[in-house]
Formats: sequence, structure tokens, C-alpha cells
Amino acid sequence: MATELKMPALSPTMEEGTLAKWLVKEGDDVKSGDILAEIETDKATMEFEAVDEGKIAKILVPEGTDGVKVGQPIALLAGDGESVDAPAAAPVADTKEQPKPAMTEQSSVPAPESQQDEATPTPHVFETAARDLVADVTKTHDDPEVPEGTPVVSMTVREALRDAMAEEMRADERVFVMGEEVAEYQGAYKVTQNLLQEFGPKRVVDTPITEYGFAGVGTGAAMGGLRPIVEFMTFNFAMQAIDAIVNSAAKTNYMSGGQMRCPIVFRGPNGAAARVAAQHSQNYGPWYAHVPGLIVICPYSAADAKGLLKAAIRTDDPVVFLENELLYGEHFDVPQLDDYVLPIGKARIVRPGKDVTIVSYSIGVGVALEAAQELMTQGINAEVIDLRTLRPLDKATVLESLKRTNRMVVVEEGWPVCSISSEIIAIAMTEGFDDLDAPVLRVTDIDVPLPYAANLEKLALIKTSQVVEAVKAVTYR
Amino acid sequence: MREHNDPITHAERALEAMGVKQDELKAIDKEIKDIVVNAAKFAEDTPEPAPAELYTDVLVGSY
Repeated sequence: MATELKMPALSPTMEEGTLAKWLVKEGDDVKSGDILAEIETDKATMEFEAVDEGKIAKILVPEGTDGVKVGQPIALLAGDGESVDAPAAAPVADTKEQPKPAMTEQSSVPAPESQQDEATPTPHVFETAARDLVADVTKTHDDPEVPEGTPVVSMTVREALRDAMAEEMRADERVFVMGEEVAEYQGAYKVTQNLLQEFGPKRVVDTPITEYGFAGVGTGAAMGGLRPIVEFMTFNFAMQAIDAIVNSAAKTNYMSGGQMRCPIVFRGPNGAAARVAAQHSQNYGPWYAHVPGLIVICPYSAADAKGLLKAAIRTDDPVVFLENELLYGEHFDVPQLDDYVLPIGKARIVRPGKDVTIVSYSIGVGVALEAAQELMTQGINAEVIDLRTLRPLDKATVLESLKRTNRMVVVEEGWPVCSISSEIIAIAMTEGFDDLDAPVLRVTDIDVPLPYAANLEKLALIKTSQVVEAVKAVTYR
Repeated sequence: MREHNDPITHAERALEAMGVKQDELKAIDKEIKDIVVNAAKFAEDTPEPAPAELYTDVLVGSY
């Protein structure tokens, strides 16, 4: 018996894909690092690399097969020196090979999870609470404010971000993109798709894996008169670069007494994704929103992602632009305008209501909207505000809404302590005290590092039901 | 790149230079592979943690 090579997952939420092409045939000797096959999903193509050396004993799934389940054996690899039907060198049934860059994107709207059936062998549905967050988004798309008669086009957040960068790069030759895998690979999450082809390697720059290095290079370039967009593969990796962001970029204007600018955009995915565990699930909104000298934008819809990224690229101030991996594949209507730019620092009322104000941002907006739909069936008409910009915070919109509803709940996919919800609650108490008929409540993730185990992950992340409960509490229902 | 710069390959060469035989290196490889395979199997076969585990192991002390 030989080692089973299993269908790899290109992303944690991928369930199946197409085995597009075999690059080896039965009898071939392979060594670690050899490309064995090309795997495709509707979002990306990935080369499947050998981890171990050996001989391809048998190809179990022919090329061109669609719907190959993750974890399904696709070939047998005979170990070094052993013949195809020699006894297994190890309990090989669970040997897994992983493609090298595991960050590649796949649709973020997987099918609903089913209970894991003990009797069913692999492949089983990958369990993650991220599905619930995405489901809330899918069920509750908002209607972006659009001038009368403007045509809209449905596009993903990923495409909207790409278009925003491409449009600004066409308009201003000082704008360029740099980061890991942004050029040749078209972006770890395919957000920079085709930018290299259109703008060339001078303006779409692949960097080494050194966040502190390229964040610093970008900051210097901005001081020197260029307008860099620095992509982090995730903001979790940007912790390496936080000195460049906070101590260099955010301080340039202040410490030069207004003589030097630092017009840079740091962008990339932020917050929890599907089962990426404690180190890769953090929401940096509150971290960066804490820093004077930074602008922090954290959009929910594709239209806002586009309009605000364009604004971020144009402003003379340094911007931290926090995206969300689970939202990249979501479709929203985007106004078809030649130059769709939104104001920084303005919240959006995504759902008008009169009984309670639910304030949120990023993927929390989907959870808030889903809760609002459910509350409507119970006779509570909730207003939902998407903050969109976390710094400067649009206090006026929040307070004006509070004045009308007299009750507020903040929903935040992130930790509760020293958070955006803490800030909103402080604002409501100090500047909206006379409008409050109940204490402001918040629904946040549990105050622990995000667990890897699917059941604990689900317990730790925000849920619609919690928002419904909080609203009932502040409306005394 | 990896073919010429893999630190594991470097270590193998260094060990060979110190007189370690190919067979012994293969045995080390197999031992490590078994550890990884068994760890993966353990991870897949072990039941999920109890909900109370949500709050454990964040800090050592109680305050």
C-alpha cells in the first residue's frame, strides 16, 4: 500500500474543486517541491506540490474531473524504494499534502454545514462558525445610497477593491501597489488581479516576506512624494510592521510640524475568517483607531469598499484600510459611476428604523442586519448604522440616531475590552446621556484568543441571536 | 530555491559528513513522518473540547 495523496483545500472553506490537470503520470518519480497537478475552484487556480519524494503509483482521479471533494484521495504515492504494492511504511491513510501558499481564495459562501457524521469517512464538511457570519451577509444585503437613476452593477468586494486601485492608478502615476504576492500571483486573495498586466512591474511590486521592511519602504516612498498602497496578506502579519505604521507613517505630519506628508494606504484582510485560529483572527480596528495621526477605514459593502478605497488613496493622510476575507467573495450593488468616491469619516444608515439603533462595522453589519430582520417579525423596528470609518468616528450620525430611538446596541466582531464598542458607549454616555432610555449594550466576540476547535469558535464569535437578545434587553421586551 | 537551500537537506549533508549513513537518515525520516501522521490522526479522531474549555489557558493566574 502506498501513501494517499488527498485533494488539497485551497482555503479553509473550500469543499470541492476541479482537478484541472495532472503534470505527472503513473510511474513518475517525484521529489519534494515538484508540481503534481493544477487544482481549480471558481476563484483561483493552485499548483499542487509534492511534500514527500516517491513514485506516482496510481492516479485515482483523472484530470478534468469536477467536484472533487477536499480530502478525497486523488493519487497513490509509493514511498522511496518501496514498490507499489509493498507494505505501507507508515499508517498512511491520514497523510495529507498541502499546497504551499495556503492563503489562496475561494468562494466565501459555502453550503450550510451539516452535522458531522461519525460513520462518514473523509471528506467531511469543514465546520466553522465563519459560515454563519457569511450567511448573515448573504441574507441581508443593503441598498447603497445612489443618486437617482444611477445604474448599478453587482460585483464582489474583491472586484470593487481591485477596480478602486486600478482607477486611481490610471488617474495618478504616483500610485503604486506593493506587498507579498501582489504581482505575479495576482494577490494572495486575488484582490490585485490583472494589475501587474495593466501597470507593469514598476508599479505592482512583489516584496519579500518582510512586513516591517516593505511597510517601511512604502512609508519612505510616501514621504518622498509617491502614493503607495501597501498590501498585507493579513493584518495579523502587519503586527511586524506596526512600528512603521504607528511610529513612522502616523507621526510624519505631526513631527515635521506639518512640513512633510505621508499619503500611504495600508490595506489587507482583518478579523476572523474560517478556522484560522488564535493568531490569524484578530480585529485590528480598535488597535489602529487608538492612534492619533491615522485614518482607519473598515468597510462592509462592495460599494463602500470601492468608494472609500479611492478616497483613501487620494487623501494626504496615512490610512489603515481593514478588509474582511469572508466578505471578499460577497456580491453587492455598486453604482456605475466614472468616479465613485465616498467621504472618509461618514457613517451610513444602512437600515432606517425607529425603536433601537444597532451600530456596527465590517462583517458585524451583516449580523446586525440579519438581527434587524428577525426583530421586525417581533415588532421591533431597528435602525442599523455602518460606521465605515473607525477614525475619525462619525459621532454625529450615531448621536442623531440615538436621539430618535433612545436605545442602542453595538455589534463588533472583535474583543470587547478597549474596543470600538467601548468608544461608542463612552460617546453615548457623555454626549447622548439625556437621550438614553436604557444602558447601551454591546455584542462582541468572547474575550479569549479565538479557538481553533469548530464548536468553541462558534461559541466565541458574534451571533444574530445575541444581537436579538441585547435589543430585547434595551427595549425592555 | 528549495532544492538547494532547504535547511533539512543541509542538515542531512552535515550529518552525512559526520559519518551518518543513508539508512539511518531514512530511519529518522520515517520516524518523523510517523509522528506527524499520528499527530494528524489524533487531531482528527479526538472529540471536540467541552464548551467550558472556551475560557481555559488564557492566563495562568487568577486575579
